[in-house]
Order: sequence, then C-alpha cells, then structure tokens
Amino acid sequence: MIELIRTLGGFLWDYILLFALVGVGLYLTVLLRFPQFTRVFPAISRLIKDIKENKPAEAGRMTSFQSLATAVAAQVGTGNIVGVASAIAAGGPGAAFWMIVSAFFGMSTIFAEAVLAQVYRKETPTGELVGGPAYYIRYGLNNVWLSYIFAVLAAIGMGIVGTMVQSNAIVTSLSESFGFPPVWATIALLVVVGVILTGGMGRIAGFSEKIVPLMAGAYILGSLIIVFINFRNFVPTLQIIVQSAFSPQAVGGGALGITVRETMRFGVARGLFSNEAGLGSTPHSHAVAHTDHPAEQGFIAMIGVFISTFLICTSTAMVNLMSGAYIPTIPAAEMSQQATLMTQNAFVSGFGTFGGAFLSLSLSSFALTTIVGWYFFAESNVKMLVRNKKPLVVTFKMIFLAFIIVGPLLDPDVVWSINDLFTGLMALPNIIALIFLAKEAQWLLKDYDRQVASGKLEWPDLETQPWRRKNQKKANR
Amino acid sequence: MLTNVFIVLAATLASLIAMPVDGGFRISLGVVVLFAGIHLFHVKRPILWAAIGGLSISLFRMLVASFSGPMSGIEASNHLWEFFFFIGYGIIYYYAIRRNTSDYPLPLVAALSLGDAGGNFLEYYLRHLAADEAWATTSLLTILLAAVLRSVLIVTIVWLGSRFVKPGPNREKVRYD
Repeated sequence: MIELIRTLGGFLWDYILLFALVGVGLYLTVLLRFPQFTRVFPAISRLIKDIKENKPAEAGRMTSFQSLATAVAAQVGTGNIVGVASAIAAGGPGAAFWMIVSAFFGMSTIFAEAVLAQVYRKETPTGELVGGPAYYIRYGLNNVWLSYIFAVLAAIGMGIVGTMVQSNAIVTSLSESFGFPPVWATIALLVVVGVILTGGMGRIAGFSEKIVPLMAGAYILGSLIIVFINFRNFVPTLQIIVQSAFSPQAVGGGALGITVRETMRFGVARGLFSNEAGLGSTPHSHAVAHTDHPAEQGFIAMIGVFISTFLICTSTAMVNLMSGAYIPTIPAAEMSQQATLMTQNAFVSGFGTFGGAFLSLSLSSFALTTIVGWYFFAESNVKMLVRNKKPLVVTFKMIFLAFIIVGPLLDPDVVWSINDLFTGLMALPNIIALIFLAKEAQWLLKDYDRQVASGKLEWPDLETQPWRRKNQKKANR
Repeated sequence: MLTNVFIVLAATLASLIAMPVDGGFRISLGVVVLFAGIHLFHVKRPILWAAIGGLSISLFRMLVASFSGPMSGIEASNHLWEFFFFIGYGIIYYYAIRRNTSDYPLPLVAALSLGDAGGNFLEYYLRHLAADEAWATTSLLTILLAAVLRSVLIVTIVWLGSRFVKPGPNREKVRYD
C-alpha cells in the first residue's frame, strides 16, 4: 500500500504538478506583467509602516502583518532546512538556482491566490472571516463539488497528515538533540499547541506575529554568520551554483550521476514545496486580512515567498555549500542519504556543539509554527464542509490534537509519503481555479492601479463586474 | 477571599487521598478539589491561588511524611517539586480556559487535561533540570489517562457543585461542557 502511495505521489509531483505549478506561475507572471519586479519592495515598505503604526486587528480579522506571519508560519517548515539539503544532495548545487527561479514565478501565483481569497471570503455567524481556495472555487468558479474535494483534501492533508509529519519532526529533533524522552516531548508539544488553539484566530495570529520574525531572523542571522566565517568561498559558491544549474557535469556531475533534468527537477520541486505557492494553503490566512483593497494583500503575500525561499531556503543552501558540508566528490545517491546531517555539520562547523542545538531548535520552531498555521488553514475548510457547526469544528480540533500524539509513533518516511500525496492532490483543484479565475486577479490589479492613480483607495465594486454577473447567473441556475 | 482559603484547605486535606499509578505517578484528590474549587467559584487570579494551593499541599504532604519517621533532604525536596505541577497547571488553566477566546472552544475535560499534562511536564522537566533526576519513565498513555481521569472528576464536581452548591455571584460564568 505504501509503495502505491509513494508511486502515486512521485508521479503527481514529478510529471503533473511540476509543470502545472511552473506553468501557472509563468502564465500569471505574464498576465500580471511581472509583479515581482515592481510590487514586492513597495509592499515591504508599506508593511513596515503598518507594523510601526501598530493598529490592532478588528475582531474576527487579522492585520496584514498577522496574516503574512501566519502564512509564513506555515510556509517555513522542516522543508526549508531538510528539504533544501536533500535537493542539493540529490540535484547538486544548481538545484539552489532552480529553486529561486521557481519561487520567482511562484510569487505571481501567490498574488492571485491571495487576491481571490480576499474577494471570495465569507463571514461566519460569529463574525469571523473565513476564506481560501475552497471558497473561491465554490463562489468564484461556482463548482461546489470541486470545492468540497479541495476542502476534504486540505482538512486531511494539512490538519491530520501534515500535523503528524511536523510533530514527528519536532519530537525526533528534541529527543535527539536535547535528550527529551519522546513521551515528554510529545506532551510538551501537545500542551503548547492546545493552548494556542484555545485562543482562536486571535491567539494564532498573535503567536505567529511574535514567533515567526524571531525564528526566521535567528535562522538567517545564524546562517549569515556561517557565510561570513566562510566568506572566501562566497564567489566560488555562486559560480558553482550558476554553472551546475546548466551544466552539472562541469562541476563533477558526470561522476556524481546528476543531469540538468535532475538538477532542475529537485530545485524547482523544492522551491514550490517550500513556499507553497499554488498548493492552496496560504490563501486561508490572506483571506482574513483587513485591507483597503484585495490587491494589497496580494502584494503582502508575495513577501511570504520572498522570506520563505529567497531568504530562508537560500540561507540553507549557502550554508551547506560554503561551509564544505556538501562534498561534490561524493555520489548523489550517497550524499542524499546524509542530507539531514549535512546542514547539521555545516552549523557545527561554525558554532561547534551549539550549532547542532541551534539547528534543532530552528527545526522544531519551524515545525511548530507550521502545525499552528496548517491547523488554521485546515479549520477554514472544515468550517465550510460542516457549515460552521460548532460541535463538528470542535471535534475536528480534538482529532487534530490527537494526531499530534500519533505522529511521533509512526515511521516518518511513511507519513511524509502520505503527506506528499495529499498536498499534491490538494493543489490540483486550486490550479484549475487559478487558471479560470486568473483574469479576475488581473482585473483587480488593474483596478488597484486605477484607484491609486486617482488618489483614493476603496474596496472595488465587484457586483457590477461582468465576470461576477456571469458567475451569479451560473450560481442561480 | 474566605472562599479561596477554604478551597485551599479542602484541597490540602483531600491530597491525603491518592491512588498510585506506574512510574511513581499517582492520582491525588488534592488537585481535583483545588481546580474544581477554582473553576466553580470562578476564583480571581487562578495562577496565584493554584500556587498557594500547591504550596499548601506540598508542605502538608511533607508534614504527613515526617510523622512516619525522619525524612532526608531528597525526600523533602521530592514533595516540594510538586509545587511546580500546580503552577504549570494554573498557567495553562488560565490561558486555556479563562482566556479562551476561540469561537470553537475545547471541551472543559480536554482543556483541563492539557493543564494537567502541562503541569506534569513542568514538574518533571524542572526535577530533571535542577535536581539531575532521570526523566519519569511513565508511558504516554498513563500520563494522558491520569490527566483525563482527574479532569473528568473535576468536571463532575463542578457540575454537581453548580447544581447543588451556590457558587457565588459569578455563577453564570461557570462552564462545565
């Protein structure tokens, strides 16, 4: 059975999603006229201004920064450390180049996801906003069944399987590095997550906005120190990355058995998986942000990809390559088996035994924030499936907490394989929706520019738009 | 204030009744009475009163143990570590129940079980850290089962109390679902 799951997951990622996600990213990049170049940095400065003003969020909503922090909490996970190391080990240094290229296109995808999530969000009877791909598939694409399929896959994929993957990673990391018995590490994790969840959306947002900048900042700083220690290798490492992206054989790939195709495949897949652009996860948090115009949240969402891949994944790649932890003369198959140890060796080379503890702590905090973020995303889908019925949402919360306990008891390879399959399947309905709703994202971006040029910014009048009327007609039928 | 002192005293006396479980674990009625009282009477500053209750229970246990013969420093400190269980429980109780702002709150039994498990973690972690003791080898199932059992008892007492005992002016605030 597990072999079948692995084969299906491998086929889905290698032959369908890789092309579909890059294709959608490319299409949206052209349609939206390369927003990566013109929109990200103004959005960063606006975000900093918002943080300085420190406006509290209204009840049932998040501030733009909180929604970004919650999205980044989910985006930045064990994949940003272990996954990047595995991609470099299996695909060579050039994988880092393709990882960045895929993230570049992913920025357009995530812009469209966030904008659509804002437009098609709904309010629960308790006044909380809720949204995400299931909502824009249902109300934008007017396809109820596809929205249910997405919601079920997302609830299971992120709320159950994903949780087990991350809890397994935390417990293993804490017990191996700090000597915590797995039983007590599980208890500690359960209690921390349980307490965060009892505070609802407000506490999840509060936790994310405090922890995410701290953990991301600490990891980037730690990586920068390693980079500075090995600064003499900086330019040669950049040369190797670019050279092996197009010709891995020139760097020793011939002996290692790495081809350009493999370099691209591992790099692109890691880039897409790390920033989750197109998978349909992050729109859940962007949907609940309070903004003046949906496009504003789209720009903020692009920062998430920038942080996750451009900063954190690149940090991991540079640390591995510059410290000498990656050894080009070792064959890829052998190097892949040591991928987890590779980054640990890199940090130990810079900080001694503290490096191992630092990495373990980073890994655990990345996984913890992913658990919290994914719960929030999964709950949004459960709310749609059960029509906000309180006992059923609470039951899901209990099941979610129970799977935190189950995760560390299972074989991580098995859970990872199931997780890959579910996240992959979840992406399919989202990609379909993005293709069909891309024009709406384009219109919203143009509307934003029009409004900015006219000097006033307000929520667009969506009801008068031709595509909305068409949707309405379909829905009525 | 008088009610709070009464709860602490009742919990201290109740702590004499305990059922041993494996790995040095035991289910004591002290924590059950203390948190049932704190919840039922909606005691203000629950962390402080959990700490006072914990200290009282720890000292009382030490006193009772001293009746059966001379006590070594290790034995005495063994009782004092329990104090941290109550602080941990109190903190988690405060955040998971009193400051529960979720529209979809966890059932009281589950939230109390989190407090119980968290209190145990804090106590055993500090024992390990400060006193260099080996981690308790209790199984995950035992810890969780004990936590759930104690929480069910607390909820039962709260439910009975809210029906048959006048829980004060904050009666409407007591939840036992």
